[in-house]
Amino acid sequence: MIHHSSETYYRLGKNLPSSGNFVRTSLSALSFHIIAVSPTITIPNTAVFAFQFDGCEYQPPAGDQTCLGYLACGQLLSPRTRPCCLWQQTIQSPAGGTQQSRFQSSSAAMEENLVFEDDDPSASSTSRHPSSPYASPLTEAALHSAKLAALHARLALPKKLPLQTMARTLVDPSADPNLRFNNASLAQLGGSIISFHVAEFLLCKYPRLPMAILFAASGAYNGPRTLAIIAQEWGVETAAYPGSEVDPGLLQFSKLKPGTNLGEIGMARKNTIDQGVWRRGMSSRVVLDDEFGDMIPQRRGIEVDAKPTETAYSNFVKAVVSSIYVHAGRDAAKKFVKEHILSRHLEITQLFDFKTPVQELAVLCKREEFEYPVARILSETGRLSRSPVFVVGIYSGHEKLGEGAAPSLAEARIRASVAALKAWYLYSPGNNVRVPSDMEGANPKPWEPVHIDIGEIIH
Amino acid sequence: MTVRGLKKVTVSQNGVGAFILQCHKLSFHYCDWAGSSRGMNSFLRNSLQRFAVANPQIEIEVSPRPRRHPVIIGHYIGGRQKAICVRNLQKEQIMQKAELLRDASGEKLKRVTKPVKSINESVRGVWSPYYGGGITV
Amino acid sequence: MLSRSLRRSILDTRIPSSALPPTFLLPSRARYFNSTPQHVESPPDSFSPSTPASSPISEAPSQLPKHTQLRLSKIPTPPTPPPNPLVLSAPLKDLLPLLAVQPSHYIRAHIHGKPYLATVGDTVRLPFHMPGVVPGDVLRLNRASLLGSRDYTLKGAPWVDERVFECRARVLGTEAEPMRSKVKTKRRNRRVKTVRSKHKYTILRVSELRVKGLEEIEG
Repeated sequence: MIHHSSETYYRLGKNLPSSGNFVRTSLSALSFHIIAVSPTITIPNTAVFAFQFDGCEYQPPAGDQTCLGYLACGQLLSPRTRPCCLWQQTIQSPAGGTQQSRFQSSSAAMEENLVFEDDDPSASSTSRHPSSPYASPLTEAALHSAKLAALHARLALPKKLPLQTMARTLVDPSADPNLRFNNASLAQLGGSIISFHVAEFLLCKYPRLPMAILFAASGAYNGPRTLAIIAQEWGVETAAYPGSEVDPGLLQFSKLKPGTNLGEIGMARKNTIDQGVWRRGMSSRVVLDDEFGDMIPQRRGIEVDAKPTETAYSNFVKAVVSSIYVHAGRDAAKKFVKEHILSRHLEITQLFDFKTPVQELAVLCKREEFEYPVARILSETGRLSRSPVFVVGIYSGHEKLGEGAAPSLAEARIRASVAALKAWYLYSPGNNVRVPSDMEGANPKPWEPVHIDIGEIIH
Repeated sequence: MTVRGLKKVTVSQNGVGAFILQCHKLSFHYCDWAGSSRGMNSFLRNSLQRFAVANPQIEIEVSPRPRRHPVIIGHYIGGRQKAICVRNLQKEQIMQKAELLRDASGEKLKRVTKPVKSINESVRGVWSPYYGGGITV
Repeated sequence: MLSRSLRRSILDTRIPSSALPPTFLLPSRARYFNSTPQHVESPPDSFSPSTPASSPISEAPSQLPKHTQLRLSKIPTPPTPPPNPLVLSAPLKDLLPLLAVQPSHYIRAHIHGKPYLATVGDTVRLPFHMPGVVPGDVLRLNRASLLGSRDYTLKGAPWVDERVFECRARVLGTEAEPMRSKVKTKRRNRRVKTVRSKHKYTILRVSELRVKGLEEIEG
């Protein structure tokens, strides 16, 4: 492994089989002694112990309502005869011969034309490596993965949640498009559960938040970026490339291929603008957009996900929540969301970005029939110096609403108004406020209605 | 719509709700031949099972490294690693080293002078010299 | 102004509640941005200062892993709570609910006599290695000399009674400092001795801090 260039020479250090570091040496040393050694790499033997799975051998009973496609062997397919992905085969083998022609079925006829990969897995999927006949790990491999068992124990998941479901939560739709084996359905359910608990928590704790702040706060609690961070803090690692030979304890998804045209995302936005879809108001965001007030991308053809890692991680967290919901029940899922998502730290005062706080405070005082807010100097120092400080209070009648300190009078008034507005918006009935889902427990106290304020002062 | 929401992300407080052990994997490397691995081999045969059962949240990997000293490597959440060479140690000492790696957070060791670290805003607010009417202008 | 009205709405029973603004209209948060001079009311000393000294470990041993249980067998059992129910004085009865409804609290908890001023979510690095605990264990801190919020502070004399509040901390792990080395020499002697020291410290995180309600204390 010698690279000859005009000035620098490198050779393998120490000439030992395993040393892979390039060491820079002098020219004279190279000219007399040139040995190129190709290191022979042996795969280290690793062992997985059976005792790492102690307590994880629980299997739900056969009549379990929550069976997800692998638990019983009645009408459900046994793992060896899992249906292979028709979509991939029709796309990846367009010039199929006689053997391939039977795979060319339309999606409408998918149910009756189930193809079993048991026939000849290596022949049916040509693009994959021969050692990886399926798109995602087999379900029985979940029982032999130390990573998966460790993750199960690390999250303190209930014993009722089998390892096979955990393995399924780690398979992104971009890795295995088959709905029976990926986590798309679980993520859909889990996303709803998380959004519900976050929304009731925010609404009951801060009943006066404006809609824009509510969107931002729920995005901070359960947005895809936060969920991706949570999954990484759980110690979940990604597989380099999905496949059935991969450890099922790794997150399986397809990364962006080199040369992917990311401009298509911008194109989609441009198309909506061309169609005259101009949506600027908060009302349209509430009705038409997702739970964070972000635009739902228009599905046209095959969309390109610009952040596949973040999406896969967040889908995994959602799928874990829903698998707890499915196997262990509502209370366990609520507890999990409370412990892992709602217990995180958020400075909600820093989410506000006011454009015209002085006017907004005046409108607020008018709406609530307070007196008109007046700014008064409380204290000042160094008016003629380079760095003066003015302390300004905003008064409505005799009541002080807020106070701010700044190097100019106008800025101090703005800061005082912002303080008064934040004090209004961030009213909270207390830390132990009850949420509607508390009523679902056993023998709850009678529900007292929660006051939810109007929210915005100026729309 | 004069107020806009800024995009932020919540910050983890490990232990406030759920607790995640920061050490997620321990790999034990041994040599069958060398004498410095004698205690390690005895640890792997006798004590490792007890350790693994007591700590199910840690993934345990055992692999030989011929002609090398025995090593325990702890892999931590966040990507850091800690390696401890356990050559010529008895199996009880190796168990102590494994527990050390389990209890560590994976961060680099730092000298800490203040015992309490907080990210919360002050409970009683920031004191200001203008407060309390102490200053007459 | 707002705390005054809040206090009035809670305490005063002569005025019909319809005459007062409902509690949800009171922006208790406003105090964060205002500059009212602090008025710290120290409650009268109604507690017996002789709270039994105890180890902070009060976790039920049955919830711990087996090897911890074995180690915990050497550690004294958690103290039994005092049999007679706590009797609060009248001003404390008035002010304790006001302290409890404040949005955030702080505590000055004492572990082995040393004070740690902490809120929920803070990490505390103890100056010693606590034996018999593993990461994830929950300790209950029952010795506090101060318990407060923005507007109210409960001072212990010297300790706040442990039945008034609940404070829990979780063991995060064990950390060490970088090794310190000190070179020791004697005069007119070439011998140089290097002393190395590296100590371990237990890290806690305050996971729960709650001021109990009146009915919970007396009931």
